[in-house]
Order: sequence, then C-alpha cells, then structure tokens
Amino acid sequence: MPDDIWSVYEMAVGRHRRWPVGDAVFHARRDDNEWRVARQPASVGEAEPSWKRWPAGDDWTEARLAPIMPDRPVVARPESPLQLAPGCEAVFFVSIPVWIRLSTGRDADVVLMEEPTVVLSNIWFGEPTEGELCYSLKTRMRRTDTADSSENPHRALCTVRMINAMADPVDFQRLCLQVKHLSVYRGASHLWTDSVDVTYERKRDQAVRVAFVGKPDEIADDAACLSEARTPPPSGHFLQKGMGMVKSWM
Amino acid sequence: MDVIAKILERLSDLPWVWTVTRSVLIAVLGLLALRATTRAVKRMVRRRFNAQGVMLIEKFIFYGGGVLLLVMILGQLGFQLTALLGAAGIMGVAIGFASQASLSNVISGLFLISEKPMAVGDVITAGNVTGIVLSIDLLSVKLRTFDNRFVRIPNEQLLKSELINFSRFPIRRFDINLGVAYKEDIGRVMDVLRDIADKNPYCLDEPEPLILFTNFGNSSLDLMFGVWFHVPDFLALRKSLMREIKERFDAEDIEIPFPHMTLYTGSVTDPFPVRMTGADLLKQAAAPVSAAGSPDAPRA
Repeated sequence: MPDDIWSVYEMAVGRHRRWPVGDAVFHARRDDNEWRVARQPASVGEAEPSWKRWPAGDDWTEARLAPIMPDRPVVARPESPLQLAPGCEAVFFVSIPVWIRLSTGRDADVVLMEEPTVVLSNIWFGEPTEGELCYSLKTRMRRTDTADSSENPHRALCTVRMINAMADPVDFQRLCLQVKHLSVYRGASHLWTDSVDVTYERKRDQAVRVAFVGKPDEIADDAACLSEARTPPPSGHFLQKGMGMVKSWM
Repeated sequence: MDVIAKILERLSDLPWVWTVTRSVLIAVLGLLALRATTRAVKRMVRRRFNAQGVMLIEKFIFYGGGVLLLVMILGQLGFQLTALLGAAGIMGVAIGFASQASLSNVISGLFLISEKPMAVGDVITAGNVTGIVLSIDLLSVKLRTFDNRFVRIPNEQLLKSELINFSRFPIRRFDINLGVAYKEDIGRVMDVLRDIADKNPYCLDEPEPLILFTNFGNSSLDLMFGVWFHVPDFLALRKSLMREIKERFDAEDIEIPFPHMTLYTGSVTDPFPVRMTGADLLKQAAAPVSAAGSPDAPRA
C-alpha cells in the first residue's frame, strides 16, 4: 500500500511527529513527563496546534497510528436512484473516510486521540420525530472498486451486496451503514472494511436484513486486519428499518 | 437483678411510660418499614415510569404511609380518633377554601405529569421565559434560564398558557430571513446559500435545506434560508452559519442592503441643496468668476 502511515513510531523524548492525512494534520509530541497530541485542519498551516496533554506513563515510548471507522453510522447514496429487480443482487463499493486512533503504552492500549481525517456533514436518517444522527458521505456508492482510494490512504472501501428477495422491485436510494461493526483491513492498494450483505425481504415496514460478513470482499487478497470494530457485529443478522425511504420534510 | 426488678415494679405503676415506649417503637419501626417499602416500590416502577412519575409515586407512598403511622401513634397515645378525624374534616374544608390556588396547581400538576408535554432537561418557552426544566413538581415547574436565573412557574399558569418544547424532537429547522439587493441574481444567491449549508458540518444534508424566495421587499429581495440541525448543535450552528453567510456574501460580492428610501424631486418640490466637497471644488466655488461671457461677470 503506497504511503502507508498505519504503523508504530518510536517517540524519543523531545520528538515531534506530524502526519498529514485527509483534511488534517495529526501531531504527537513527547516531552519529559508528558505527551501532547493534536488534530489541526490542514488549511491552518504551521500555526501552533491546540494541544491535548497527557501525563506520560513509563512505557509510553511509541505511538501507534491505526485507522478506525467513524463513531456514528454513515449514509451513502448511489450516483442516481437505482431499481433492483426481484431476485437480483448488486454489489456496491462505499468509500468511507476513516478516523485516526493514536495510541501508546506497552500494548498500545492507551488511546490518546480518536479524530476524523475528514469532517463529514451530519445527516438525519429516519422520521423528523425519531431517527438516528449519521454522517453523510459526499462520495457516491459505486458499482466498481476503481475508487480513488489508492491515492487516499484515509479512505476505506466497504463492499455492500444488495439482494432483493421480494417479489417487487426495490427503489434503492440510500443506505445507512452501521460502521461501528466494521473492522478495517490493509489491502494491496487501499484500506478495506468487512463486507456487508443487505437483503430486502419485507415490504411492509421497509426493513432490511443486514448481515456483517466478518471479512473483506474476496477481491481484497490477503488483507490484514489493522483495527477491530468499535462494537463487535451481532451474530447472524439484524433488521434495520427505513432503508431507502423517501420523505417530505416540509 | 434486684435493681432491675425494682425498676420494673416502679414502671408498672406508671402506665404512661409503656404507652410512650410503644408509640416510639411504632414510630421508629414504622418509619423504617416505610422507607424500605418506598425503596422497593421505586425499584419496581423505575423501568415503567419516567423520573417524574417515580418521584410522584415515591412521595405518595411516603406521605400516605406517614399519615397512617401518625394515626396509629395518636391511637396509642389515647386520642379519640373519631373526634380528631371529624375536626380534621372540618379543618380540611376550611383549608381547602383557603388554598384553592394551591389545589388548582396540584390538579394542573397531575395533568402535566400525565400529559408529559416536557421532561426534566428539556428546553422550553413558557410565556416569555425560556429555560431548561429542572423539575416538574405538584405545585410548579422549575426552570433554569440560560443566564442562570431560577424561575418557578405555577402549574396552573403553565397549563393555561402556550408552551414550546425545543427538545421534544431530535432535529429542528433554523430559519434565517435574508435580504439581498435587487441587482443580485437570485439563482446565484440560492446556489451560494446551498453551498454554505453543504459545507457547514452542523447543517444536516437530509432533510435538505429549504431556500425560498419569499418577497419583493421595500429595500431587498427577501429570502428564507432554513437549515435542519441536530438539537444539541444549535449554538454551534447558529454561531458558525451566520458568520459564514456574511463572509461568503462579502467574498461573492452579494449585497445585503440596509433599509433605504429613494426621494424624487418633481415639479412641485424645490431642488435638493447641493454641498460641494473637495479642496479644488471649494476653491473654484469661492473664486470670483471674471471670464467674459460668464453669467456672473460684471457687464459694462
């Protein structure tokens, strides 16, 4: 993987490291008895970062950078609304900007910072009276994996297999991905996440059956796990309501 | 042993000692039992009712049990309960008349608790007061205003007046009324506003922002810019969005006009007085004009 920053870095006393990723520059500095970490928007330039200080432990000698999924679900949309015929399936690739987890300690078990590489807009998934706050993905879901992720080490590709098990066609407009259940893997050219299967089988309440495969798509050969999911995925599947709903918000 | 026997013999001659001891025992054990019952009931109903309902049930059990305990103790002390209850009834009527407002508040409080128009922690506006609900009690609702004042609103007043709850639903729309100069391209202004909402992380992408051309105003073309946001983000959105609109309009050279009026001089009005400014113009005006042909030149 080109420009692979997901690694362990030696941090001698007085060392200040910078990692420009996505829209931000991440800083880590080790002083005599404390660590300082910061996330600074890339547009700010060389200004002094707003440090977050940590009294250092004895074994805080290394910094580990790992990609993790955002802390809220993400909503992805296809490039244009798509009709899925009965019995058909389609594979989509969703490009998700990862968050950075900077950790230290003997087993990298002390998390000093978890910050987004790209600040995403908010989006509401559900009714105005009840729903879930999610992040909105600006990049659209694609039918191929020729995303620009090879040039963007801060994006991970998630393979979503949509299956229409109903007798009626499905008007697919948006997808809410519970990314907290996704692990991140290092692939040959870019990052991958676990694959997700979404099956439309109930028309009445527009609920879909979501299953987390627990590994990346087959095309991501020998992808190595970089970070576990924030929350382990439920075994089997779960039902998610409201997928693809079109609403009036006036 | 002889001493104890003597003490008991003496005490047997004083029956009031036993009465008081029994009463104290009833009071102590009764209060302990009451507290244990209240806690047990609280644990049982905690999952089925909200914090306000649990508090109400807890108070009802504690004070109801307390009254029963008091009746039992008074019975032990030899009070005639029939006469006492009769007197209490008459007193109750008298107190009832004297405390109509309080009773009204209590009944209103029960309606408020059952109707649940708000919960502790919600931001509401009642009358002209806006604040965070601290507690919903039987007599009143207590608010903390944003400038940290404590406000007590009687329940009856709250029930009668209009109440706005800002926290009831998870998302809201923030409407901004804007005016741009008549010379502006309204389509371009709308595109700029859409882009501002798109780039502000607190504006929800869905529901989509609402941009309406609302009116041909006296001094401006009026627009309504409504963006949806997650309720906890209100202050952050308001602070960032207003500033971004101003900065972006300045950058795009979009004029936000202040109210103005154009005056015309017709045939019935005098010409407007003109004041000349600038050093050269003032000198020119002050110098005597002697050029031939000039209307001000002295004629021979």
